[in-house]
Amino acid sequence: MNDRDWVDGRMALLDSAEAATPDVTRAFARLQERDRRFRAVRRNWIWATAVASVACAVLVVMPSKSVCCARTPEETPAPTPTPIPTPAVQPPPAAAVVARPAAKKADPVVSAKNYKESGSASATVVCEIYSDFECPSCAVFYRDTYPQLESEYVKTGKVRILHRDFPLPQHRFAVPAARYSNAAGESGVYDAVFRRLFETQAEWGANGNIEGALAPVVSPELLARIRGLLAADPKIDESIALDKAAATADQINQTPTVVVVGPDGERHKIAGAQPFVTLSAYIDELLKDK
Amino acid sequence: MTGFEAFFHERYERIIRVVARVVRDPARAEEIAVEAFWKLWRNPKAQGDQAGGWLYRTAVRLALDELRRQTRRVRSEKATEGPLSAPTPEQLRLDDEAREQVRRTLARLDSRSAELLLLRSDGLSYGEVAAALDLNPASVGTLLTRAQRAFRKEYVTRYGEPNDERSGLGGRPHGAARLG
Repeated sequence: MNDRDWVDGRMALLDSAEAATPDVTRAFARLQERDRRFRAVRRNWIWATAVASVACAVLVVMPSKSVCCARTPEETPAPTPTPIPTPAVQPPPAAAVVARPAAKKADPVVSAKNYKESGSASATVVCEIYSDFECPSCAVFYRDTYPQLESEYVKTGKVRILHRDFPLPQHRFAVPAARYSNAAGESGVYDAVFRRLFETQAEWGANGNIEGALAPVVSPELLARIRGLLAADPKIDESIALDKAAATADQINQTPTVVVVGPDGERHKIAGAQPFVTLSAYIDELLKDK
Repeated sequence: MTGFEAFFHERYERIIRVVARVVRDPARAEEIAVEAFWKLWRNPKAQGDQAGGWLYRTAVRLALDELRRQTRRVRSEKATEGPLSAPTPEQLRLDDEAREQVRRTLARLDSRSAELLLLRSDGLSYGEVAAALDLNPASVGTLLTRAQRAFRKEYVTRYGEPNDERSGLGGRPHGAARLG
């Protein structure tokens, strides 16, 4: 018998070993599960690498600066499984007008929806940013990282931002500053006041004169209105309380912390003033999962 | 249904079949077939006109890798445990043993020869084998002849000339009907 026939005869033995009728649907489900596992591993790997890189960079470049403000251990409450609330949507009153003298730096935006939100409602990814107005690392984050995040992801409709107040107890003026920002939001000038508070953090953080810091971007009439809301509107404190409850549910213990919510609803916590490249790597990975 | 899902449904049965011929465990064969599709899914460069051939090549390579691992494991287990399976009727046992001999022989060949024999015995034409293994179609015949010679030599060296009656041969000559 020639080699070909001989080998064909041997190989034919394998035919009877064929699998039973294959279940294609089950196999495709396994393929999808395999891919999900791969993406999860890769995402964790990217994140771990990015964190390690950032940590190294921080140690080398700014050894004396902290990249976050940590909540003191005794202040950290036990996590509870409460759902994460979202501040109620409060359209600004029609009378909320922003004074814009020529010398003023900020350009207040009158929000048409929840003043703590920005970006498309249909964005695939949501970034919830927990911050404290008196936290130096938060000021760094909003100065160095946030503008690029806003221009490349928020304005392009890929990411929606939700600011959340997380005033830390060791910061004396953090709660008053958060209250001013919320009253400003109720008056339609949240973004301008928000930016101004971080820009002038060193000044009002030293002397507590928040109104003095806001004067260049808020007209006296509007400031009077904000003052009135601070005295009488319960929504100001409610908004902060809601954010703090969300922080407890998310087990936040330092600022800034970005909770990135992916298309599948999974919440990924990224603590510290991370550079844009770290956040973008993470967001890109989630956008791929869409 | 996405394009890839349709492709999967169209090709899966054939791929699982070729893998199951090499890998004894059906569950493991399914894993390997899925792994081959997943590699294609994650590799956009492999998609397109050549996807079928690429998939065949990948599946066969994964199956042969698994076969070699199994063969090594079986060798070490045999040294201490004796027969692999529980007692079965004699004919079934002999058939199973004959299949294992074929698999172990494949595992000892060089990868290219084993891939050629497997794809050819699965009914692929010379052109399809050439596409799957990225070979010049004109050289497939020569390479296949060498692979067949190497297989026979290896088999006979290890197990002697087979007794066809004992091993269940003597039925259809496998290659003649399917390969043409």
